[in-house]
Amino acid sequence: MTPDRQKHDPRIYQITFKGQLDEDFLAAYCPPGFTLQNQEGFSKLSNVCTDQAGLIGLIRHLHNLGCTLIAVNVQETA
Amino acid sequence: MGRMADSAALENNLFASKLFRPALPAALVARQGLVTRLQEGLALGRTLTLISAPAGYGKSTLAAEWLAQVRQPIAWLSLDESDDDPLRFFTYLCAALQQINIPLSSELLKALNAGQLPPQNILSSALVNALQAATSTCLCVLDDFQTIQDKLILSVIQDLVAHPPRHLRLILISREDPTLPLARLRARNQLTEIRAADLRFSDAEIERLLRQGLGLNLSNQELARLAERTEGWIAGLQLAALAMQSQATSDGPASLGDFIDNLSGAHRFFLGYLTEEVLKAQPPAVQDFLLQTSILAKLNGDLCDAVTEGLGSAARLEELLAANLFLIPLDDEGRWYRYHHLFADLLRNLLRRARSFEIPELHRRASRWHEAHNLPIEAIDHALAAEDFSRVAELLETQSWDMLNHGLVRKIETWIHALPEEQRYHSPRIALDFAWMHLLRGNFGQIPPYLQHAQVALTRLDANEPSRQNLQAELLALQSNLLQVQGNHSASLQSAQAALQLVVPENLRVVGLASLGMGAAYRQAGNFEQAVSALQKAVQASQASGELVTEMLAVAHLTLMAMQFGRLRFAAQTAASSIERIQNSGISPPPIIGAVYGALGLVYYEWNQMDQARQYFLQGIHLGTFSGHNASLIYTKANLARLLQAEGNLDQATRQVSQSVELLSQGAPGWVGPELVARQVSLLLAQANPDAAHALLLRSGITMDTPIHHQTDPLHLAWLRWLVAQKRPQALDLAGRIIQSAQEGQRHGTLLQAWILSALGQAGAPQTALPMLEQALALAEPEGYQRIFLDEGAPIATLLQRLSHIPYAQKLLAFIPELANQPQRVALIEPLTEREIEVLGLMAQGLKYAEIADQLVVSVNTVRFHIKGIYRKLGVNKQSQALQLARQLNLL
Repeated sequence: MTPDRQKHDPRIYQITFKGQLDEDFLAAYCPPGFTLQNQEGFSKLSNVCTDQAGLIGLIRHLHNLGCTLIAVNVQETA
Repeated sequence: MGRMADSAALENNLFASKLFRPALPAALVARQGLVTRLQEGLALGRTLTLISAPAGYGKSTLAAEWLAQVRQPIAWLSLDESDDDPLRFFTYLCAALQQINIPLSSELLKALNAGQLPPQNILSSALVNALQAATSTCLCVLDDFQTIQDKLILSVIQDLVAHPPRHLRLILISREDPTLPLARLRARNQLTEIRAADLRFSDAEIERLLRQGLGLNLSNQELARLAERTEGWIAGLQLAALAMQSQATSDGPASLGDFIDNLSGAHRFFLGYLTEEVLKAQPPAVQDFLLQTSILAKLNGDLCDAVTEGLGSAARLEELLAANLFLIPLDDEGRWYRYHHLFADLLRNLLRRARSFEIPELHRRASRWHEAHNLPIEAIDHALAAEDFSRVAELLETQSWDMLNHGLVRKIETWIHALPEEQRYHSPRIALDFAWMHLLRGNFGQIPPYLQHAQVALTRLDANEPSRQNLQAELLALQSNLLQVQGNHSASLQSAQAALQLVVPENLRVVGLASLGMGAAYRQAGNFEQAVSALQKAVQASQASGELVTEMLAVAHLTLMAMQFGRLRFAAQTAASSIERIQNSGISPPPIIGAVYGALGLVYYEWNQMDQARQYFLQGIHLGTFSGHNASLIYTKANLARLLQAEGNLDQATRQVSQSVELLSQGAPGWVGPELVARQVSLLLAQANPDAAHALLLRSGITMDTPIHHQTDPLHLAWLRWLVAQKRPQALDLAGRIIQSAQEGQRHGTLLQAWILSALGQAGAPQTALPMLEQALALAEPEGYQRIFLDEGAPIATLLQRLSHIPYAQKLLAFIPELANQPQRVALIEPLTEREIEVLGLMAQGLKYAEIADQLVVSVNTVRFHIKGIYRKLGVNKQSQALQLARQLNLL
């Protein structure tokens, strides 16, 4: 596989949303190694290492749990 | 192969195509590495396999390649948006599982066929149990699982994954990760995953596809550039390959390099470009065909002929398949196909850009074809796409009732919302259908808005419209039932009468419904005779029109009411004939039937036929549990508690009652509450806990001074029982008031109970007590009441002995020594079989399993099986406990 192609999946994302979630609960749904921070009323999931299908699934799950999505950033490539 | 015999839907080959596993395409590049990983996951016994990647990554193709190498039975279900509805989803899932002979319970299938969705826990356990019964590994594949977002469906799938049946392997194919605890499964090594990174073609695979598979003469540099541009994305590569093939034949190999250079990396744009290139290379007739048929989700020759207004489409489809033009067969007879999702999207884009004026007409043709072939969902979807709203409304009007009964609630709602305001309830029909559906399912809160819509639509109808009167009558009949449930019996009665005046007598469906509303209203008003006559009319009319739910609701009213009025024989006859009719018809019984079984059990109980009574109770509970019909469950469990209490099994009786209380707190109609409180009071008194009984009565909302009428009977009788047990002087006054009210209302069931309790309360004054008991005996005998006396035990025996000159008293007394001799006799809900008793006896002699097996000439496994049964029925898990309890129960 060319090095260029490896860049695309998976990646490490940071997801910011409004809403409170239990870390233990998230552990069943998020890829290992993620962290959860609460600051200024926002929750920030960092180190989420996943691909597109995983990211979309996770965002939809947050949405279904009543969280409001604020931002999705790429932290760095895996 | 198993078949869903009673589902006509399977006859429909479009339905069958959902269960068809895509045939293995003539794969140009075998993906043995991925197949091996999938096989390993299967061999490791992992519960879940997930193939998760965006469109065009070859997910379904990989699954087909893998499954072609799998020898175990495979259930395959292709999902689409309209399956995101629990009733529909589970109907299809069951059909798929039946194809691999998973023994699903007939109750589950019947309920789904009748449009009833069991509650989540029941649904989960029915599926888990059925799958548990599989004796060897079986695979269940759900393709396009991203279309499923419904919470209930996801919860049941979560249950399946959390408590996986031993032999089930679930395979989900999805464009995005489903809402399942994947991280947890990963951590426990219960998940096999194939993702986009795995699915991308490697450089070697790209080479194999293009050079060997398609014979394209590309340099290494060109290959590398193509790999870079497409990023190994399979759909892109295949389109590029098709475009290059046509370039190579028209312009020669020299242009391929330029062609690749022109490709941009942005998928969408690049795909559009490729599609155009592929299309341009086709003869004009094929171009037309591809564009025109791109509006179809599923294609067959006849349908394509209709949409293109041409001939020979079946042959053309076969050509397209052979030319690799992204056509996927959906059955093995070459009848139905679909385009690859992405390709279809792209073709539709081109169609919109180049010939958008044609689109509405194409959809109209498709709509007509589907209508003519009895495929209303597709017919409506295409009519909507054609923006032919009056056609949508027309189709909805004629089809909504059938479709509602097939679980398409959400879909119909979506269609209605897509219609412009003025078309939405163009005729009252659709709104009335919704109101019916909610009424029959017991969702009363949902009915009023639909009745309002229907009313508005009705006033818009031409006054001379012949159907108007009937529609108005139907509206009134629905309204009558709603008002009755809301407790407004006088308004309910008015609506029912108005409905019966308007309706033509041949419209039996509406006659039945209006009569039901009327009968229920008369019942609420305490008017026995008129209620019976209206309800009987409802039963007759709905039998004739085949409206099962209406019929059973009327039967339930008749039976429960007959109990209160002391008409045991009438109750038994009504209930038994309906039950028999339903059992013989093979139709799924509506949920309320649980209460009818409960009432029939109560009749047999009163007749002192305990085994029969127990059977009906258990059946009622079974059905009520399955349909999630709380009222049935509460009523029947409370009645079973009475039987258990009579057998001296107070613990089990208490358990049934507390389960009923729990169910009541989840919500149930008002009529079940008082009966349950009465049962609790009686049980607490039997447990010598009068204070708790008193506290319960104080919370019941009825004091002993509250005026008495038919709806308060159970609570007033409970107060009376408590007063008598506590030897309170107020008992006399309350008894007198109940007796008077019951006599006036001819509520003989209530009257009997009040006489008996009153006689017991005045046992010290035989000159009052005995004549009262004599009256009770006279009233009881023709209907065969026994338990109502026997349940009172020794105190009543003393009184009856003094009436032994009366034959019926003598008959009753004959049962009482039995009561007196075995006061502590505890009985099992489910009795032990003869074999189990035999095994128990040998166990008591201290024999080991193997010795018992020798003795009975059976295998050790069979002995284990019997012992398991014994433990379950006795509610123990140790041999010592089993033997101890068995001695107490005189089973040894």
